[in-house]
Amino acid sequence: MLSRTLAVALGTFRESVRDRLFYLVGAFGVVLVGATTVLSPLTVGAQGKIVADVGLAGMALLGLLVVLLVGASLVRKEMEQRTITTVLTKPVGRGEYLLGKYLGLSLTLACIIGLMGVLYVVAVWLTPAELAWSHLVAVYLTWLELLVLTAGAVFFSFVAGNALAAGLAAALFVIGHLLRSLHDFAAMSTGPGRALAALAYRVLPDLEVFNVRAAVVHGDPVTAGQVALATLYGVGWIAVFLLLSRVVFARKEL
Amino acid sequence: MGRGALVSLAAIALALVAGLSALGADLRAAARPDHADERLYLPDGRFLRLASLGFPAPAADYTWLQAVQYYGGYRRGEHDLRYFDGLVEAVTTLDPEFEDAYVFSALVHCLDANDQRGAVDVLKRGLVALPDSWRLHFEIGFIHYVFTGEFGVASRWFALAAEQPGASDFCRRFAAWSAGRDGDLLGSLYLWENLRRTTENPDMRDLAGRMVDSLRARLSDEPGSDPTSTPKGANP
Amino acid sequence: MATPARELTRNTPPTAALAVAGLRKSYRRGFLGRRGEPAVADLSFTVAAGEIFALLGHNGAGKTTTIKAILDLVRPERGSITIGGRDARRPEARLQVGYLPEHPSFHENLTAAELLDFFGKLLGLDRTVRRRQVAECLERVGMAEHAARRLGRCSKGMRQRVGLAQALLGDPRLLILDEPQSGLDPVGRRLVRDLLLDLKREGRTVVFSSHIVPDVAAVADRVATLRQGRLVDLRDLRERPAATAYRVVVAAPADPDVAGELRRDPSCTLRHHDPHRWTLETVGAGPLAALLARCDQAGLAVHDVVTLASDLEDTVLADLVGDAQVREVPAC
Repeated sequence: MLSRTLAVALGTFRESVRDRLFYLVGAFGVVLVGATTVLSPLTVGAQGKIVADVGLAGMALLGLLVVLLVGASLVRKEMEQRTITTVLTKPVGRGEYLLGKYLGLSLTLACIIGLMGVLYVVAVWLTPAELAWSHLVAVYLTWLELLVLTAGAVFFSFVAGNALAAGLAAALFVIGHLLRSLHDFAAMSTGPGRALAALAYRVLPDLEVFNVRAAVVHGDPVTAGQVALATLYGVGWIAVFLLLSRVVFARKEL
Repeated sequence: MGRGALVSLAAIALALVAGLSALGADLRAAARPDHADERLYLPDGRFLRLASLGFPAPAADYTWLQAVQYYGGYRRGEHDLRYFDGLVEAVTTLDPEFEDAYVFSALVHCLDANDQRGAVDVLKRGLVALPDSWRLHFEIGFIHYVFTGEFGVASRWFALAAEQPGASDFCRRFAAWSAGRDGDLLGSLYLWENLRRTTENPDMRDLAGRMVDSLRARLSDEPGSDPTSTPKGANP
Repeated sequence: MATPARELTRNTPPTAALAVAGLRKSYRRGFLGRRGEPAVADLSFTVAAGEIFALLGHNGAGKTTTIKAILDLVRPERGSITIGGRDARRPEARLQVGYLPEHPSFHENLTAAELLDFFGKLLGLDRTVRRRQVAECLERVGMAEHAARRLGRCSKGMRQRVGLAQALLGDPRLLILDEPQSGLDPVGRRLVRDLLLDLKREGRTVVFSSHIVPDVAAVADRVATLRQGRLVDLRDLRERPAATAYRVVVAAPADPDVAGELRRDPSCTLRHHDPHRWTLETVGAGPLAALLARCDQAGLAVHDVVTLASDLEDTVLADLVGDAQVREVPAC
């Protein structure tokens, strides 16, 4: 079981390499250089902060781009191009296939975020700001957030078309970050809006759990317990989306 | 995979959602209150405008939500209002025609910061972008009427508001009323009379008619009477 | 699942490489739409180990749906399918199965060798076995020299060959080929035909679908003819070969002896004659060869040889003919 899942994962990874997804790391480099050379001089004394802010945000947004472009069509593209039929007629279960595809893209994201992380650390190190372990925690949690979004995108791709799935994943990203405001909004408003906001608050992942960017930039401590709980939360949501995907996938006819 | 297995997978997923919802609530509760000082670093609106990549209006909306959140935090006693102005300024630089932002900010200035000058400045800044806005004119008049008691100034702003396109009838009522309170009985009479002739609201016409009668009576009976003796307890 | 289907499965001989019992499948229109006419209904057949079994029918007869149900790509509403005695819905059942889709489509970024290596991993082959088998399979379909070519740059014929190669990977006991000869040039068709016969010689079981009667008649041991999703004919070509009729147009014989001989020959019929041409009809490949040999001996020029419908073809075409007859009824 594991070997087949790994084979699918590595195949997916190789495909993303050939699709030149890693060019995004280059784009990130440009963003960082821009942040250090163009923006920093404009901000008197806050160079380190700007590099860290722009770096962490750029990493998250470029990663989101991968999720929307690749995650939302991960399995669907294979169904549309019928490349999936030959794979599934090998002794591969649909669950193994799904998990393999997901792990493959997770690996791709890990490499992309990892490389961006290296560039980021170098860029922060070049500024007067202090480089702390918490910067790496922020990078890790960014990756984890992208994994949750990928799982969501994969699920959406089973229930909607490619473009709509990408849109839903983007909406998940936006709502996931506004969830706390949504809660306040629910408390204030009345009527169907209130019920809807309250429901969304209950059944959608709160992506702010993975957002320690501000804390890191301001040098606030990020505790190991906090990271562990965030990890648990992230893995839980990934499991939810993949289980639901598995259920819908079982009903798909190819 | 059989139907039963699928149903149990779905059930596990739903149970997980319930568990995660609880965990999420715990995490939120444990989260430190918002980084108030994050606002310290709120970039200048002009930079934000560039950074919004051609979508300044949504960026303004988002920043506006932040501003309202921040005000909410202040009302709950979590922090002071130090960065409120910066947020509003960012909003109005991103979207200079964001009328609500000016009005809300002015009210916060008056009510929470007791800074009426600041409030009027904010609204005047709004007038640069929205010179036709009756609401901004009206709010300036309102601040003079309610907070500083400068009825003459208020009356002139209310009258200006009434001249703007789409202005509500009550602008003229406020103008007439505050002119009266300022002691300018003739001015007030003129404004009430004008309102009575032109309003389409029968209640308003009725009220204006009564005010015109009462003012006429006072002007003919006691030419030198105290202008502040308009019926007590009545408000525009 | 219906009980009779289970019974059927249980009663099939242990040698059955594939058993389909009471299969029924109709597709939904839209996501939650109603099911339409069944693509396959009440289909049962078993394939013995080592035989070449053909599914014959025109487009839309239910061949591909049957194959997809066997491979668990679509979910049947009723019926059971076992591969080598195992429930076809279990992935392990496909360990011994090689499949060629009708229009094979592969990741364009991979080379032929990489693709096969990937499939080898899915089959659980270890590295050395994988390397050897990938080379062997590519060699066998004539793709060895293009092993390092990206699939995106392969012609349609080459992709079909790669498809065959991946079906052969893992030494499968059962091969399921959906229209293996479609879209191939004559050389390719010949290659597929020879390959099918080779596979049979190696003791493998082959199930393939086709809409071309001569392709089926040339290699199949048994043929199941499908029409509108139902089995209309199941025959063993080894016992009752498909008899194909041929029409031969030759120059009119000048020699009255030759002419008399041809007229009297029981294996051919003179359908039409004029001072220049004779049109003869004969049934079966043997008599055709004998007829052509005789014409050659007599020095008669052969102008044309036309394949006429076989009785197998008649079965496939029956519904079309039926339609035509219906249409001929006066509308009164």
